[in-house]
Amino acid sequence: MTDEIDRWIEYMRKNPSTWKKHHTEFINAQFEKADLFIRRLAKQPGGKKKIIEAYNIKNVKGYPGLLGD
Amino acid sequence: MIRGTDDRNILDEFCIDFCRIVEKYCHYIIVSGFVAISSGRTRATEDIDMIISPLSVADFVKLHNELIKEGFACMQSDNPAEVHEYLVNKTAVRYTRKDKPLPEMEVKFAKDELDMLQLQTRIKLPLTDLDVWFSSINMNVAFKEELLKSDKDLKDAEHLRKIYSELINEGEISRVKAMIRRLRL
Repeated sequence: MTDEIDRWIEYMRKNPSTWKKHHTEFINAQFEKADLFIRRLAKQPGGKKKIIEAYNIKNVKGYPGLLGD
Repeated sequence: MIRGTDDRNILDEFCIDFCRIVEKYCHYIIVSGFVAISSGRTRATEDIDMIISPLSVADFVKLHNELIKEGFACMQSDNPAEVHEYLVNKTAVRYTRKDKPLPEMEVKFAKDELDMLQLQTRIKLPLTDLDVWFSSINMNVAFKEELLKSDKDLKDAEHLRKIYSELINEGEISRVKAMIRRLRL
């Protein structure tokens, strides 16, 4: 159906000991970049309100280090 | 031969830590995207989907309180009775690590015989190198191909079909798809 799936599975098969390292870097990069952005945004005027809206956080007290005063 | 390694990513660690607590209180399964991602699929996600067996308020309070004690936060409420109410009303609740809005664990109570069947037929997938319970590959493929159907979901299903070709049972997938049409569509 899709070349990208076949290509990646072929890569996994040919590189059984290293594919996970690349996969881990790919997954971690998403969250590390998002976390850096969220912390930068929290320091901007109105940034905390934007985080609350973007992530639909109703329990602001649950995130004191990020959203507290 | 494709094999897992000890190289855990942020989603793996989040999932392991969360499941280690949940399993003390109820049966659970990880479903949908993370099944594919933990099986090597390279795509973005913000959440992991979990179905748990329904709990009484009293038991859920214990689970929620341990999650909070171990550094998780619920995005909807600090009040476990209120969170339980969401679940009873068939609304998913989202937990994250304290002060980190991502990633999320999206938790639902099992709501019908399909969910109960998923819990009964749950499996571990050694290839993921994660000691957590997953909904079966055939269930995941059926849901993605019959109910969810987005481009992302169809590619997840294709990935699972190829990675776990030895586990694919077309008869079972067809039976689950028929249940999905009867109960969900």
